[in-house]
Amino acid sequence: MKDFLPILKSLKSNYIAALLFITQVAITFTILVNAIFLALEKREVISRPSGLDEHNIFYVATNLPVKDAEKKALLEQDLLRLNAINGVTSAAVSTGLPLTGWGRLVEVATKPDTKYDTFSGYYGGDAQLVKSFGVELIAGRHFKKEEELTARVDGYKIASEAMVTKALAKSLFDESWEQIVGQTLYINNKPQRIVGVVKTLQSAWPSWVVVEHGVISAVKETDGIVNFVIRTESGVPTSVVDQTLSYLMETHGRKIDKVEMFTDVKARAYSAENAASKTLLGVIAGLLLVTTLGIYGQSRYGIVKRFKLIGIRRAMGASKGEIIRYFMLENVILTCLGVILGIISAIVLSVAFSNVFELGTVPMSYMIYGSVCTLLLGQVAVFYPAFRAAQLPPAVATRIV
Amino acid sequence: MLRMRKLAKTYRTDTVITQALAPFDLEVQQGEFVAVVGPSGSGKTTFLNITGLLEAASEGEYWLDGADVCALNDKQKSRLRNEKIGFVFQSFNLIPELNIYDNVEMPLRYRKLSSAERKARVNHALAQVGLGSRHSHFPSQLSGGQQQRVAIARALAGSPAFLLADEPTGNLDSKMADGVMSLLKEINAAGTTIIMVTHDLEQATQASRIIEVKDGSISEVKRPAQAIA
Repeated sequence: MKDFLPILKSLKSNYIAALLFITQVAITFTILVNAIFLALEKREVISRPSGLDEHNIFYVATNLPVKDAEKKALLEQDLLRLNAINGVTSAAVSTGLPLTGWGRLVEVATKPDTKYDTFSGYYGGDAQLVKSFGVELIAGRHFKKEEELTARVDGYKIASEAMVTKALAKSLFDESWEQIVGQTLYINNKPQRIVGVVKTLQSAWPSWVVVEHGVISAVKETDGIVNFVIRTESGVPTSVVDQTLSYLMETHGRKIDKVEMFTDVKARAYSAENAASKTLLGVIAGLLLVTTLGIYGQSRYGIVKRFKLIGIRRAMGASKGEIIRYFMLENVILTCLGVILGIISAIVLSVAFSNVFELGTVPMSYMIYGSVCTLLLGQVAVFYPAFRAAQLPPAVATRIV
Repeated sequence: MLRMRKLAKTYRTDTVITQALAPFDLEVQQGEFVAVVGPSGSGKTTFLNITGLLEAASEGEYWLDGADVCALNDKQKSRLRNEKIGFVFQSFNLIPELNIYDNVEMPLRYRKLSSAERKARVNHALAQVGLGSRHSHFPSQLSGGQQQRVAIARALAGSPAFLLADEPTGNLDSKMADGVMSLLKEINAAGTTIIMVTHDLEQATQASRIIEVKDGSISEVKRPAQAIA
């Protein structure tokens, strides 16, 4: 630290170059911290669990090509046959699937007289739907087979029991969410008794504010397109998909609207976030490279300019190590100043971003990690020029320039 | 105090070998004022660099204050340079961004000294060269003669075994040069050994001994009276 004051004094007399360096570090830091935060926030969104047994599920969207009166029977038969396929753990019918971008929503209230307390995604299906989704029951019980109903459309209108997600229960009952079991909720104004709570089940729209809110009822719907949710043992074997389709196609008039692995559904749902996060990470990598080269170049130039001074210091008794430490300490001082300026502007930028784009503000831990990384980056970039400077023969001092 | 035996310096490139200094012997005693003279390109600067530990000799022995210089590593040489040798250069070699005080203090910062002791040494050294009142001036605000005095103060501050002066008056007019020479003589009279490289024979005669470097060989050792004759 013996060089600390002399460095400050030297910087004072050469403040333009120092300011340029500090500004460069500050800008890099600001962009870096915000970009990393945005990229990681997107990755966090992408990695949120849907609640499903994601890798072992596929679904088939199809029709029930019979008269209305026979639809219920065909559906029953389909479910029996699909459950019998070798390799199928559980098959069920559902009004929709998480993250597909296409589904139902309902209004949820705790009292009959209020309009609604919150919104929620809605899934109607047979009693086995929860098992077929692979969602985890954390309070109460599953639907019983005898509670199962069938409707043409809008199953929630006739349902008398429902299950909800923990997120929905918490939004209504806070920390005493478990007490929701046995209570009556008003789903689109229809009173329903809550029999169970599942850990997670996302709704159809990944960017929806209440994507974690979910209501499930044991009412199968037969109108239009029905979704068969099929859960398999490990991975989704092609043979199971083939058998499912060949069974379904035995029925005359059957149309297969869509067959998709749930992992593909999820990838599609987050493709924009994924691309944005990858682009951001690319930008970050590029920025780091450019900054490192910039610091390297500036340090090198600053050192070449001071060959004579290095020689003088060596002649006065500075060892090679002391020359290296001098330039590394100079870099630490400049980088710290840049980081301080960077933290201020990163906070300003983050607040501005969060106001305009409704994003979270960058947490303090990012500033700390960012500072440490920037300091290390500076040290890595300056080390080689400083090392070279130390190799200068001290006899440089006796050369007349 | 300073003893060189069969010391020589050769520069080698892929194709050329240059004998910069032929093997020579030299001894300097405590309190001497030795002038090293010789025309440009004679090897004076090489001699100065080797004596000042700025360059290593190719062969031979060099003992400085009991230390075998050739056996030291870079760090030990740096330490020895810092503690035993005070440099005075032709072009002063002050650090332009630092004021007079900080310039004189600079070599002391490479030692484990308290700031109080550093301060006392700097003040004493500056007072010795008659610049006690100019602490906060920058080199560019001083005349050449004053800058050289600062450089001498910087060399003295560390209480070195000897001062190594490289054409100390080379960049000064004759009046300033006389001032610097009399300062050096005072310092020598006070007990500091001085080795001064110069091409000015008249100045050399003010030394107690003259060594002549010619074509890379240290050819003669004369008393001042012989040089004039």
